[in-house]
Amino acid sequence: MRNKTIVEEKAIFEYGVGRGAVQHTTVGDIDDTYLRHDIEGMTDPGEPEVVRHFTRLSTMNHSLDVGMYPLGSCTMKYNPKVMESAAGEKSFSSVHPAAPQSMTQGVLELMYGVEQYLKTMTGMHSFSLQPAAGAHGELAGMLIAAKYHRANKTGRHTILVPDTAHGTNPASAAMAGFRVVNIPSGRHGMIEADTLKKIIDGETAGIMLTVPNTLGIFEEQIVAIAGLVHDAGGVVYVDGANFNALLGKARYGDMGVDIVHLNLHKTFATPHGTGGPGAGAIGVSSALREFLPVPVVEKRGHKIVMNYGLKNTIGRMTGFYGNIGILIRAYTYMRMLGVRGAGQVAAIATLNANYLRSLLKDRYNLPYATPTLHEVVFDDTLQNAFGVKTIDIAKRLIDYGFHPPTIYFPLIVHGAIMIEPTETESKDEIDRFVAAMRAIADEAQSMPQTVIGAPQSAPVARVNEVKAAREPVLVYRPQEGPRR
Amino acid sequence: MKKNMVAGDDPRLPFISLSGSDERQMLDTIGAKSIEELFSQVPGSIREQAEKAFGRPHPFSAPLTEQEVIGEIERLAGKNGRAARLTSFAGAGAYRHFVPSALGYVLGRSEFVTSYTPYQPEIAQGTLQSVFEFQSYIAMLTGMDIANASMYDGASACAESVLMAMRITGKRRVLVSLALHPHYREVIATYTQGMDAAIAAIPYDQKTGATSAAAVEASVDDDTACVVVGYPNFFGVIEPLDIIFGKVAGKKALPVAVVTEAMSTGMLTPPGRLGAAITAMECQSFGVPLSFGGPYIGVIAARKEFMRQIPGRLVGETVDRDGRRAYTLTLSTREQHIRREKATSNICSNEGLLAITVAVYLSLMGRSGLMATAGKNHELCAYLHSELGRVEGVQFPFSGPFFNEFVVRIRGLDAVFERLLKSGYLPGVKLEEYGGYLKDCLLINTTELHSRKIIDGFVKRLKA
Repeated sequence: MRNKTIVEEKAIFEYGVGRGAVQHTTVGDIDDTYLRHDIEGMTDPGEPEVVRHFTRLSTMNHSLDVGMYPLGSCTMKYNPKVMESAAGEKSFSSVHPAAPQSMTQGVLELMYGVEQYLKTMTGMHSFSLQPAAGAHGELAGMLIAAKYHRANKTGRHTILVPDTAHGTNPASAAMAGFRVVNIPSGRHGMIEADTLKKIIDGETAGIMLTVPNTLGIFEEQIVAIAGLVHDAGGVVYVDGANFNALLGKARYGDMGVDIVHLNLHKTFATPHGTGGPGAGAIGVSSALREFLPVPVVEKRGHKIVMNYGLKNTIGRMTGFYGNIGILIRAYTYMRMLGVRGAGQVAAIATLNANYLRSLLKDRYNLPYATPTLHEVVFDDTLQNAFGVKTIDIAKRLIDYGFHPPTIYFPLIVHGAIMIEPTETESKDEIDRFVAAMRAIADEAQSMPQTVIGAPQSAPVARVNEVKAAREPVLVYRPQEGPRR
Repeated sequence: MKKNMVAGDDPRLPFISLSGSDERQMLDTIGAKSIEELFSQVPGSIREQAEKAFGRPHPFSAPLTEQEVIGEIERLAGKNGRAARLTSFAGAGAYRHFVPSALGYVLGRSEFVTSYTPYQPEIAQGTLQSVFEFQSYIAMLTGMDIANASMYDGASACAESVLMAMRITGKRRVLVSLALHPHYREVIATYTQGMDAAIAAIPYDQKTGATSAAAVEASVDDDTACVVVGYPNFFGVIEPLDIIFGKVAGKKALPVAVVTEAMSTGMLTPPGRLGAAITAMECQSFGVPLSFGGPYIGVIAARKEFMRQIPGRLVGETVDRDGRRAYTLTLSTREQHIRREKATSNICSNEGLLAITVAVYLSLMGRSGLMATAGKNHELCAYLHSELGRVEGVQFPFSGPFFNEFVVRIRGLDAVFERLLKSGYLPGVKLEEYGGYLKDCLLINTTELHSRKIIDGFVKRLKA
């Protein structure tokens, strides 16, 4: 049963109503048309009320610090606390972006260090740290591809995107002005060179691949695929969202990749903060360096400088230099891995995922038998017989104290359950998760209503998402009638 | 030191909790002989190339312990120390404001810091309600009907507003005021380069520093998607939005207001009441540290009829199975994970934690606190303006009213700037460095953190 002692937390706008004096602003030099005399709806809650309100709200969240958070493709790994104190250093956090470069050599050196490390780990020629998130990095990459084709007057307008790709891929390609052509993956969950040969034509500007892909499968034919696309005059873009599976083991640059974006908040352990801020570095081969978004940092003599002068740059992507606070965290983590220690990340992430896969494959259907790296995708075929669906399994996991995996993605797997444990989960924690999943498989058979009725122990019961979309309420409105 | 089979001679990373025997047991369960075997899908030649590359000397080769990395961070922070200690009058899209102490404590909670996008509403009500309150605050402050759950920063929010206006109107001409922050104009250019947009620059009035309403009237046509104006603009001038946007009344073109200094919303009439259909705002001023330019937080607010064209995540109110008030991500059929290439934007992660920061900041300030602080910003800025007016060789090129930032022309600015820098002041930003603007002009900002004493000291130094 739901814990009935949990009461609804009222809106912040219901605290401190009628408190505080409204000042009637009069400013001599500003016309009254442009002065406001109130902020309707805002109130004056006291500090204890504010602190309690948001603290109480926080307790309604599941978070990584209380338990495994196995969202596939999201790489929810533990966020080392030292990174928080690093980013909190006043000498970083209180510096204005217009401060002269001669006085900001510390942060510039850090940015340079991030670039150097990423170059080594990915084998790419150059990086820009402008993008503020993964999808922002994808947009940068697609704008680079588009500008490259414009600069070379190739007249190519289509981008090939596999059906396993993150939704951000086709959306990013479209924002850069490309037409998206979907490529079906083969029956082993990979793109096959032979399929590709039939699709590539004189319009093809490039391909967007996720390596390893969203099934956790390494695209075995990547080198051949890159060759095909290059021979046809296209560019090879890799979505590096899943770089955690390869860190310290393999490099995109060695696979023939021209452009790659990385999600520093995934692979480099910066906290996800309820969905950002992240950081999305963009790396390119030497031929595309001049197209990178600006500024890029460079070493000139003993000084690190910002360079805005790239000949074919796609331009600026953010107001200033990217998400520096996230770069500081990522740098801290990179230095703790070193180049030498980085291989431990991919190794253990892959070990953990394969261990989990071995322990669940007899109770949950594996739509693809192909070996996988850092994550594994099951589906709900076996549970469907009892009327239990993926969504129910996910919600039931909440009752066992876990965050559900990514569900219903990738789209090519009906009822997908995509699990990524990451390298920071212990064997104990994985064993507990496996036990919960197996128990749910039992329950699906013996007491399906319990699974379908889940969650029972969350702060709220199953949320009505249909109503939210049909009758959208996007801002606070005072409640009518008695409060429940 | 714990050793394991993947670490070689190095110690195991502190964030890995498996022992060597765990690894062996797990491999047995899997039925693999070694971890290497799990990577057999990756062509051997690629793995060898990587191994070779990682074996080369590299300054970051060796893993650092936590103690060592703290030393490294302190070394780098030390090289930034002078910049951090400057008494700054620089604004230009990034502002130093007071932050109540309670903010850091609330925002430090792991439940906010280490959770992700609230895909599972039943265990993310904390995030969802907080972001819903953020959206509500933004709507109240901008005078718009709705707001989204955040964008990367003000500049990208501004660029996405332009794309949104192009989608809504089906038009391709974009009128952008030359008095809009130059970085924002650059990001608009970046975002629209694949979109067949035609960007036309709208000049500003050389006397007032405000966008020329006459030029808007002359430029706007039936093919115009939007007109984009800063409020206040890059020069700090409070644009007469009602007059400028009045020139597009009756046209298809949408008026887009861009707020780079969110503190101004505590004092100025909200853009929604001056005719804006969309407002893009940078919210860094609400509790987010300067951090050398990021992470900051943008947001898009709009009239409710554009609900289905707004990019990014939206939190909506609904009920749970028991009929209790609850929140969830909603209208996701606009978004990339459902619509793919037909989505309103490719944005996925936004600036969630900073949206909550803004909600907590505004709650701690409260309505009267925010209005009083905004008023203080203006009052101190007006004081600086009048003090500078008495200094020889100082002029004000623009006569338009300002909020907490204005342009001042100083004879021989470069030398004065260097001298002030040496005395520990960052006197503002030079307009010339932002491309195409007036020579010898400084954009100068004061917030509630600049006391009259600090201002007096600065003006005295400037005179010397």
